[in-house]
Amino acid sequence: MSPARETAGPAAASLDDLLEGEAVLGVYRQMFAALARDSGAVVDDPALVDVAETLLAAFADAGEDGLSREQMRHVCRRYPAEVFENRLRVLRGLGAIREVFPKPHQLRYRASFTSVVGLMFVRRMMLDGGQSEMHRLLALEQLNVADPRMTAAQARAGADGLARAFRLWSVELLTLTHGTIEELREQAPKLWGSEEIMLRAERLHGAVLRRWPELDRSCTDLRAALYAYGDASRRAAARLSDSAGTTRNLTLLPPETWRTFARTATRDELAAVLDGFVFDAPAPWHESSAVVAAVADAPRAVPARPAPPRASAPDRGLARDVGAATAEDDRLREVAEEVLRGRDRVDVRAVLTGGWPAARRLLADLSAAHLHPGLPYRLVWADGLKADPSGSPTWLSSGTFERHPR
Amino acid sequence: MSVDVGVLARARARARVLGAVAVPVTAPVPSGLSGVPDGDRVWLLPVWPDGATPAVLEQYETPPMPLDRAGQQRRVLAAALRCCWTRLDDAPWPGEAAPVADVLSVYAHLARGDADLARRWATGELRRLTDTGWLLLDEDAATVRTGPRTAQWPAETLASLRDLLRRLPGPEPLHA
Amino acid sequence: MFPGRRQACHRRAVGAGRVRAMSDLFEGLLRPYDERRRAELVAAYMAVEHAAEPVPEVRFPALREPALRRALEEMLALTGRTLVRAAPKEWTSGYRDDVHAALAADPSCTPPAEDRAVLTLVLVHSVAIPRAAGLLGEDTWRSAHPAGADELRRRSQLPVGELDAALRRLRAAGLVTQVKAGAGDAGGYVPGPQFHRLTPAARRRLQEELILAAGPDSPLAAAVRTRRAAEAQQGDPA
Repeated sequence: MSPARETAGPAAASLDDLLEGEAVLGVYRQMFAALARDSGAVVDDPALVDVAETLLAAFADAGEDGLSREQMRHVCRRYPAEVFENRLRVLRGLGAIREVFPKPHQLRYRASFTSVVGLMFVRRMMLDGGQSEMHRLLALEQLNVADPRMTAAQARAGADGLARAFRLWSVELLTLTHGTIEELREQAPKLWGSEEIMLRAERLHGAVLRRWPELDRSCTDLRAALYAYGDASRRAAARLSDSAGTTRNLTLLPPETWRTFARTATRDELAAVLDGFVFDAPAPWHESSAVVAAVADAPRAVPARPAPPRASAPDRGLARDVGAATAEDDRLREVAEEVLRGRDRVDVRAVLTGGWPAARRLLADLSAAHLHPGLPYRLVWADGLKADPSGSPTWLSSGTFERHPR
Repeated sequence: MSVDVGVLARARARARVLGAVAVPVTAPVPSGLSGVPDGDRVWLLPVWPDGATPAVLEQYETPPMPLDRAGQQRRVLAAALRCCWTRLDDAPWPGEAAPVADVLSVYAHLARGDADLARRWATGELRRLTDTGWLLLDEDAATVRTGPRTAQWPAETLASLRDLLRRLPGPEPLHA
Repeated sequence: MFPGRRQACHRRAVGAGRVRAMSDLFEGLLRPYDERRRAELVAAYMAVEHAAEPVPEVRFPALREPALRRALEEMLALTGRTLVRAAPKEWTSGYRDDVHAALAADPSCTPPAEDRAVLTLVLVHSVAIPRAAGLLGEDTWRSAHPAGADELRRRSQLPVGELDAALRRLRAAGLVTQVKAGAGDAGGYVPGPQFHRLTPAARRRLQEELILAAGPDSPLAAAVRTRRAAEAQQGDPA
């Protein structure tokens, strides 16, 4: 925080300047209080940030009454007492937690909104190293540029700030690109720009230039920084792509991107991935001796079966020619076994997942299997419905479909 | 010549992907594949060096591709052979077409439990054996024949299979 | 015992008369070798072509000795195949890259769209996501993190019936392996042993296709597209 102090103003500053400087420092301190080890330095153990987060979350739940000291200790009970005391001291020192006296002789504590925002920002930065933060910044700047109250000076400051950020990112990416492949693979996704970021930045640049043609120098700077960043991103990606291995580069997309793809892609989009792949299909080989052995091992029907009465009826043999009733039984049995998959019971909710029409069909089949006297299955319903507005179907009774011994 | 080798290699690779492929009898059989003639068509099957079969893997304790219910599938194959390979002094290929009902009634001797269920399992196996070229099932005519893959059985390994088929009870006389 | 059997088989091929065009495809390559070497080459050939999993070279001299391995490679090339090293000292076979490309252009040689879609889902859930989360150590398409059957059903756009049928076919073809539910975990599907048969170039292409599909906007996808465009230009002599 000391650089901030240096910019706070020369000695001859007025009282107003000093107050303003103090206010700025106050915001800085609060924003980064969560990361502070003591009032003078940043934490050296990430767990210390968790204490702060735990506390801030408890304050959010507590509402305007705030928390007493005992309550704070309680929510932080899994941390050692000295850690808790240290954190509380620092957070108070930096203004993230304040003492209030709602009644005489009653000491309560409240948390600062700024610290929570700061922590959110920090957590996001940790998650994706500024990628999404950059999206947010660019989106905000775009809004600002369209705002009639925005001045040219503000626009210039915004453009200059972005140009600086892009330049710093380029430098860091280029350094990484010349370093070890492992480090590059780990760090690059947090630093490089997706096509969307580049597009947004170019759009912003165009909007600034259209509204304030006099800012052409700042815009030229921003454009140069942007190109340099795009180039650094491409180089990093090219190096990774050249050393792809078999699956290593799959780490370069975040898990959430993969999940979204799996969840939302259509059949054809999924299938397209394996377009142009041929897989082996060596047909099974039945050595003639294996055929002989299989017959020798046959589970022989020991008592020779008396000819069943219906065997006299000619039977052309294929499944579709067999009596409709038994075919239906068999289908139900197949459906039931498909659902059970070797288990003795399943939660009905877990299997009715294919959208309402499919779920209704399946439910009808399970009910039919349940009612069929010749089939060893039953449906058991429990009380209560489970609603899941995002699911399909949106509600389900809880019940189990099970196999019962005959 | 080298182009030719590439084309041939591709034709042989294609035969591996597709299992047994039939081409018109007028079409040339690419060298390096064995053409198993079947009326107006020819089945193309891979050629293995020195007449080896995948059964070699056993000698090296190396498992082949796992096969679901291998025993059941082989018993159905045995039942089909009992009906289709009637002249046991000849080779199993091309054999004769037999009613599916006959095959199922032979298979009934080799299965236990619910008879209807066994028939349905067996019908499924007939289809799978057809997919892999071991049998040729004609669903419309409800008949089945031995498949071209049986032509790959080395002749001198068939003695015990012949013995087995001689012992195996035939189809119910109702259908004879 | 093997050489004796070999000769018997030859006699059959010539004498049976039914089998037409049973050429001596491999004879030119095998002739220089004595009986023992020849049998070793044939055994290794059948093993890499037909075993479910990659075979250890310790069990097959023709895989162990570089000169024999080269002869084996030539035997495989005759049928558009090549040796693939699946792990240190383990081998299997796969389609040569040029043959693979030619076959892929033939719709009858590629799996149907339903099966490909489900296989992609299994790859994403059992390999891409665990790898992105840092859970996979080895750089292979095999995985110890099965794609749960429920996960596949619930979190995809595919109808359940279609999904289950495709999983059955994929399992039979060795493209997925079903992991049975154990105590406490639900089981599911992982890529099957056939993935060992992909050549290094095919494995890399599979990875690229996944990245292009799931993150088309990522710098990596852009790099892949750029490189492919450059390669296409180079490969085009006109």
